[in-house]
Amino acid sequence: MADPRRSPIGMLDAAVTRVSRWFGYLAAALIVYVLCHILVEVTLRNVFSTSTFVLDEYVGYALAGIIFLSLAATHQAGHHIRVRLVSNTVQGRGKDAAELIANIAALVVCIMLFVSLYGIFDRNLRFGITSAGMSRTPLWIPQIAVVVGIAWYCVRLATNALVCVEALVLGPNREREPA
Amino acid sequence: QEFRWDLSTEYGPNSINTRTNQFFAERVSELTDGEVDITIHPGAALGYREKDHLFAVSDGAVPIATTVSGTLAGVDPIFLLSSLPFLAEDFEDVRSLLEIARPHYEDVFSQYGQQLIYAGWVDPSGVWAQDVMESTEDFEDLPIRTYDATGTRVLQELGAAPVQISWSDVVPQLATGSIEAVLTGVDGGAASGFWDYTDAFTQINYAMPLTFVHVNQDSYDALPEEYQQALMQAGQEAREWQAEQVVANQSAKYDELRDHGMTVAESVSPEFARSLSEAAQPIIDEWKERVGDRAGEILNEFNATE
Amino acid sequence: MDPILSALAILAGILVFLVSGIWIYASLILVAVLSLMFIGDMNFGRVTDIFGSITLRSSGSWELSAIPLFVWMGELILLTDISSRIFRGLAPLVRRLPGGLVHSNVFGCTLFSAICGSSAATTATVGKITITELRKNSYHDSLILGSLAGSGSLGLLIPPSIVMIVYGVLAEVPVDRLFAAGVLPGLLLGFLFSLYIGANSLIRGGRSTQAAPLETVSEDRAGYTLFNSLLDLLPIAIIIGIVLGSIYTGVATPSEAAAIGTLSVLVLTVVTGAMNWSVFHKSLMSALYTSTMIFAVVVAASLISTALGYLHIPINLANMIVESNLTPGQFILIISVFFIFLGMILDGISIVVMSLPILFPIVTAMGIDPIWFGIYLVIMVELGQITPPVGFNLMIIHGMSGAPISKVAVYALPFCGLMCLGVLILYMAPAIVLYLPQYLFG
Ligand code: NA
Ligand code: NA
Repeated sequence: MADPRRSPIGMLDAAVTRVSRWFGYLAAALIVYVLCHILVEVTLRNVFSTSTFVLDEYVGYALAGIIFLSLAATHQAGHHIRVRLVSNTVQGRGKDAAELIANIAALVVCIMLFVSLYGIFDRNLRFGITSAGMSRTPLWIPQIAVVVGIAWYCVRLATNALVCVEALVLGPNREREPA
Repeated sequence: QEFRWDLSTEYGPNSINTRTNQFFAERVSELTDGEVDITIHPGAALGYREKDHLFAVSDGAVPIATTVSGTLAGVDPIFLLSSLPFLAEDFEDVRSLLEIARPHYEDVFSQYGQQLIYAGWVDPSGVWAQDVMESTEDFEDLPIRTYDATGTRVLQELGAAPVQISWSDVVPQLATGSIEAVLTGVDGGAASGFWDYTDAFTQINYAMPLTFVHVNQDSYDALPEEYQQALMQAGQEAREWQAEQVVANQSAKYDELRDHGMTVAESVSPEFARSLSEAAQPIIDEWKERVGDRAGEILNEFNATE
Repeated sequence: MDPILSALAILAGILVFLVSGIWIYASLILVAVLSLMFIGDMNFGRVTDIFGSITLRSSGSWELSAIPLFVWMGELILLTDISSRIFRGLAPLVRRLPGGLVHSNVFGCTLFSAICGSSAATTATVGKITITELRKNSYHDSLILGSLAGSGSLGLLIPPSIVMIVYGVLAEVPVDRLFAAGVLPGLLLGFLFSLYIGANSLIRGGRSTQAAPLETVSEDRAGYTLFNSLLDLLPIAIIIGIVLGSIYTGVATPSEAAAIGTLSVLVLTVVTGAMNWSVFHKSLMSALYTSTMIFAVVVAASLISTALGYLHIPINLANMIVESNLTPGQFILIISVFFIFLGMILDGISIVVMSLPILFPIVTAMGIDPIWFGIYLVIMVELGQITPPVGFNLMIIHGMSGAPISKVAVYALPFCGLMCLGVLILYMAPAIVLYLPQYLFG
């Protein structure tokens, strides 16, 4: 039997894992940005009696970016919470099948979210909608992170499903990295 | 019931806007023998913020919503008209501005697949501060909280140090003296007990924002014609009811403030008013430029009625 | 459809998906979609339209900004020696009490909640150190994990608190008064928890194994004095001082306090030489994963809350309450049951946002003090954090300890009871809530 890491699906899995991690770093950088923006705002207000005037608006964009860009990284790090009643009781192919069902269920949810979020992004782009605040930021710009993040999470979940299918086909006599 | 609609609003259950929505829903129910049943979801209970309403109604995700004018500024700057500072001097001005501009508002709403039912106004914003504001000098370096971009620009123009912090942070910041004043209506300040932190309220008649009640076009078209008329009639009545409530509420609140030992200046001197208007002029000019011809038409017609 | 029946159907749906091993966020969203389609009779396109804008809205709200920062601060405290210092400093102070070191959960959470606005972060930070140490000392998991679940709840009750900020905004109650009102009830609950831990170990012996080694933490520290103890508690005291100081001098708003706290911990780690690239990287990524996990469930909960709203379930339930002509006492009793039920499937902010618009008018009409009601609501929200199937603190403790969620939930049960007792005491003696804000603000 071939080494699953050398199989096309295994290589795809490794590539997706790497890219997911990069998006995770981007999201982590946004947390640092949120910290810095709030500190700058506090300093401006207390020392210079002025303000960036866009704090809650930009922090809001950054938060949405953080959540969506790191969905895949959080998933592969095993941090999304779930009840492990089934996966703890079944073994072998049963476990792979349960994993496949869970990933497909999550994929269905995320494809639905992608479709609706892309719709909002697209409309904001087409109608040129801006924020109502001081900055008048075109709303589609921060929403790029949201759309890319949820799309990439769909890729992550689909790859997981493929890995599960491969495992179901190849049978239980090999080791596989948990996704 | 034949037609069951959910109305989304961010205003709290006790606010004048929500009470007017309730009045409207009751009148609609009466006029349609209970066939059109509108459920109000105040306090953003459905999860939508005002910014989401235009598209939520356009999609039919929610059939009807209440939205304050300023949040639509990112869609079309025409919606900044009612938050232009010191343009309307009293409730009569607000009414005539609304009547002049209503076709333009309707155009934008219909462009996004919806029908404007009615627009109501609330009491104008004033200044809560330690002292009564008597001249533009009183604004010099004043740390004051504003709620939108226009307010920030005007107060900067007046030499104040405006900050935009969220409403929940206003009281802690007032209590600790990090801000000394707040630009908001007598109603909003009273609800948060500003008399504990400030001594005077000056009614500068800053601006009187409109709130729109708008309904999805398909939902509206699905109604028989008599119900459509009932909806419009109820909207008309609701607007008049709100207008009365706002006037009555405003004088009641002035009394309440005085009971709490505050000084209330119900109006400002003509010279002060003039200098406030001058400070606002660059913002109004800029707005005219952004909006284009429509702005000129509206303002000319408004000035002609003055 | 009958509101109680619909609510039960939704709860059952969530349970089925959860048990089948689907991630919690996905289970919640699936149930939200299905309930709108099959109970609410909406087509899939409309459901998609609804959920797109709600998802975007709930993921980008400013109030959430405190969460990654508080969690990051917790992770930094965890990776440096501040948290083990807290434990080391508290150990000699609590060792002699019946129940011994388990009290460090209560005291640790009380201290930490004074700088942290979220109970999830409080539970995680205190738990990461105490679970290992207390297990080393052979205390039984039921006491370790149960008391952690209970004490973590103080994170929202003792100011600063994210839920109080949200309540203050919605109910138009001054946030600083709410903060002040939370202090004494928080201490009261902490006291009840300690009392229970003491009584429990006096009756049942507390330890799980017979040949328990003596307090391992204190073994190698002969001559560890009260002074050493205070010295070990100094870093946390400094951070508490800075965070509270920044709020009460007005330098920062309560929602900005998380950033001030994180900055001061960063500075502290740099100054004490504990900072290096690995600590920075590990703490930040850990904070990222934890907050994304929380956000995913918060967003999913907001979709459930929207679905319930469209199905008119909260409104109909509230109307049933209003029509039944209750006294305030009966009312509080019934809505407590309602909140416990909501708390089973929903989380913190969602509960407040969803129920308040309907309940608040009734509350004021009944003459119940809005500040008292806010504190009551926070305790009910806390209760929801430790009730299955959806309870953040349970999941966090499950993640850290490896104990199954069902077990953690059972361990937490006595502490749920103590919280209900706390509510009863606050109902009988509302002064515990109202005294401090009255004293401070007149
Ligand atoms: Na706290
Ligand atoms: Na729960």
